[in-house]
Amino acid sequence: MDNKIIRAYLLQEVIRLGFSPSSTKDKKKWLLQYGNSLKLFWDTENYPPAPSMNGNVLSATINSSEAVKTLYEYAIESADKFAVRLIHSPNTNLMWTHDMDGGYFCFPNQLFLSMQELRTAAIEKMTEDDLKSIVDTLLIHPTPHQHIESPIDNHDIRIGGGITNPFLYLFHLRIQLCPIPDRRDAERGRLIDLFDYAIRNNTTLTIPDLMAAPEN
Amino acid sequence: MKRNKYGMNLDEGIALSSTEEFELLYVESDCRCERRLVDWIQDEKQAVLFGGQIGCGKTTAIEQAFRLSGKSPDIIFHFDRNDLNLSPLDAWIIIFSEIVRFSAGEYFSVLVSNLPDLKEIFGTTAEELNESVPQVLLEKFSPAALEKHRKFKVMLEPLLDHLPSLFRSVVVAIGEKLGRPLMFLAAGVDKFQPCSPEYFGLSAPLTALAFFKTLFEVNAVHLFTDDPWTKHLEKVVLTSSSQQWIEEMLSKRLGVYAQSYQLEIPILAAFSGGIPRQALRLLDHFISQQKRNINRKEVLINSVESVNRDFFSYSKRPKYDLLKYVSKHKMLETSYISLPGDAETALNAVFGNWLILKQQKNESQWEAFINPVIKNSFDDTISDDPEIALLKKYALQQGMGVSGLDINTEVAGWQQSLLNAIEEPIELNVTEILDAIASALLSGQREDRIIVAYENKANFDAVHAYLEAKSNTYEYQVWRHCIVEGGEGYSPLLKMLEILADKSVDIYSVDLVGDFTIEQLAELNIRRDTFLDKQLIWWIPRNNLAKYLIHWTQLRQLFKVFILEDDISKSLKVEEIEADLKFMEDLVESEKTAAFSYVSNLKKVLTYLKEAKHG
Repeated sequence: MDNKIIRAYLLQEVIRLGFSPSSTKDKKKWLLQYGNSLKLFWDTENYPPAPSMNGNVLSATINSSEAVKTLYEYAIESADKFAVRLIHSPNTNLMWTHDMDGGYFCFPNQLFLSMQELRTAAIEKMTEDDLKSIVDTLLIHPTPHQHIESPIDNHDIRIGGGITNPFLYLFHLRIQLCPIPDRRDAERGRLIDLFDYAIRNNTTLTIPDLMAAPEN
Repeated sequence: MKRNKYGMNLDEGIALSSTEEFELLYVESDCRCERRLVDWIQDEKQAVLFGGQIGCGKTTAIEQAFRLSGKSPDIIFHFDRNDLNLSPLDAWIIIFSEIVRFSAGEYFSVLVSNLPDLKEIFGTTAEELNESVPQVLLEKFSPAALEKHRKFKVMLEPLLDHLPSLFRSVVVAIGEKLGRPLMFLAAGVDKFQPCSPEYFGLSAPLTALAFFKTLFEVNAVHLFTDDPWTKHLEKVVLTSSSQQWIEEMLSKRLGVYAQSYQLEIPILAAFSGGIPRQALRLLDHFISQQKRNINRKEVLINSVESVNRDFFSYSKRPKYDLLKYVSKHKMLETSYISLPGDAETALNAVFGNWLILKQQKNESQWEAFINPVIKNSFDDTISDDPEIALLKKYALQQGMGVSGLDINTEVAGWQQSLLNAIEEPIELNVTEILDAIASALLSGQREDRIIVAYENKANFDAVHAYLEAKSNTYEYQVWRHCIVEGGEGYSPLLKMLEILADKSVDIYSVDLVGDFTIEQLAELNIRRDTFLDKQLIWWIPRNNLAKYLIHWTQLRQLFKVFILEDDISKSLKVEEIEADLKFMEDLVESEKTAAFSYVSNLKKVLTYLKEAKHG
């Protein structure tokens, strides 16, 4: 089997396992634990403020560490409608908004893959390199990405483009805005192990496991 | 204290103590005195005075010297922790209780042969002794502890004149049994200002200790005051640190972020005057203010002003002429310190860090300079301005230093600003204040101490509930809210100690009501170290705050002060609280969880806001 096909299935698997909470309660839990995890992961002094819910919109403001000088506000209305505003901190100038508008057509990856019915075969044939590639593609080194040139000049920050899943977008910011290079590397290894185990054993992934910090 | 391995480690200048802290944050001293202390610990038998100005790193240096020597003092006497007004009797209680603690094994019989009644108070078995000592020292607060403390006092009082000789007999006898002389550390003597009643109370016990191998931790002024007990003792001085050393220390504190602040570190170090605690306070202010202001130059200036205000606004200022002299000649005649009636000049200036001693020139002359954070206040030209003269006069009348009252007299209504200056240590709107306080309380690992001054008692419950809710966003934190009353007939310190004795609490919320007397304020002030490792919120009526801060010369360095305006309901929006509640409500699974506390407290806030809105 072409490894591009294998990776296409793996990509969908990783998104399903880690970034697709279904009920509103699951989404809230995911977001609460996400906020909770950032203090330890970024080694910041404070937790971010708690998320809130206005109508159907889940939102919060996250301050990155002092070193990165970015804060972002997310507002998630549904799985395919959300916005994340990135703001330069502390002067509060808006840099840009990542806006996903599900009212427009989005290529139905999952639909095509389901029609092929190759998931089981793909998982049987997957290698560690396949999973590394997917974790990199989605989180560590998003394939299409932007570098911030100004006012923050840090070439190690890669903000992914074309990300349609709000939880995936937030989680990749957790990694990209982490000020500790060693921790990013360790997190890559941890996530590869975590998803590898869950996919091969056909188990679910708990939110605390996903949000844990790597040991380094 | 919990430390960050990679990130910033900011605090108010607390001495390093654990192995983790030394490995992560210690910078080797650039002063030879640390090596001298190691030699003393290893080889010598006479007592020694180890002195330095406030915040220059004495406690850390002592800790490091003992670590390097591989030895520990047999007994540590914490004179700044154990009693309140330190009458001579109080100091002896500390001494004999610590000896009992040391003797809890095989040497207790030596003590009993000299003081047979000890058995009645402390018991006889090792278990009883280990339980009784913390009680007598009021380390563990309970009615039984108070009773034991009182009984021991009653027992020692008639023996007061004989206690020095008793102490000597006991120490000599234990030393003989041990086969070597005992080594003592007299910690916290530096907190006592010469000429104060408390310091007087210490003189007999210190004299007795000086006969033995004792390391006295003293303030620089004690080295020059020529007290009888210090005569003939070697004096080791820890002077201010070099610019380079301070820069290295600040870099370590910034961890992986040091590179981002490479331009500011030398400036902060220069304004520290070589005093590590002052450097850390500057860094702390700089980092926290930078979150609100991108202009680093402005933030640097504000940081210096903040530290100036923290340290000097309320402290007794030395005479202008002395500061002017030192400013011009870069020198201080230390014999001035021991002059009778000199409390307003040299002694005050050195004890309060208005002047910083750099290096000894000859027997009585030291190179000295004015603390950089107050230097501008003593510019000659300023004194010619009639408005500033008036400003200074006001400050003097109020018993305050003028340096913290940096008011722009060009602006109309500056007199009112002057009055407000002492009451507005941090200028934020109410929402920002609540956010700032709440974020400080968000983690159980934090050790923040906050004073909230309030004007309108009606807001109190809502603000309290709001903060309790926010502190329970991510971690379940146990709050205990208590009232401590001050004024005649009350014992606020004892009440405070009783509250802090409950170790199951994460955040102690204390409402200080009534009019505290000067003595009661001083008692709290002298127990500064008791509050070091606690997360505290003290609620104080705004009218009382300025008066209290004047007497909390040590305490106020530990606290951040926030002033709440009276109309909370305009700042906290019903819609916002409802949005917060809507998020968390269905995540509550049981009581005594963060989510339960968050939701139940926010509901209280919501009720308050709705009532306030509809009258």
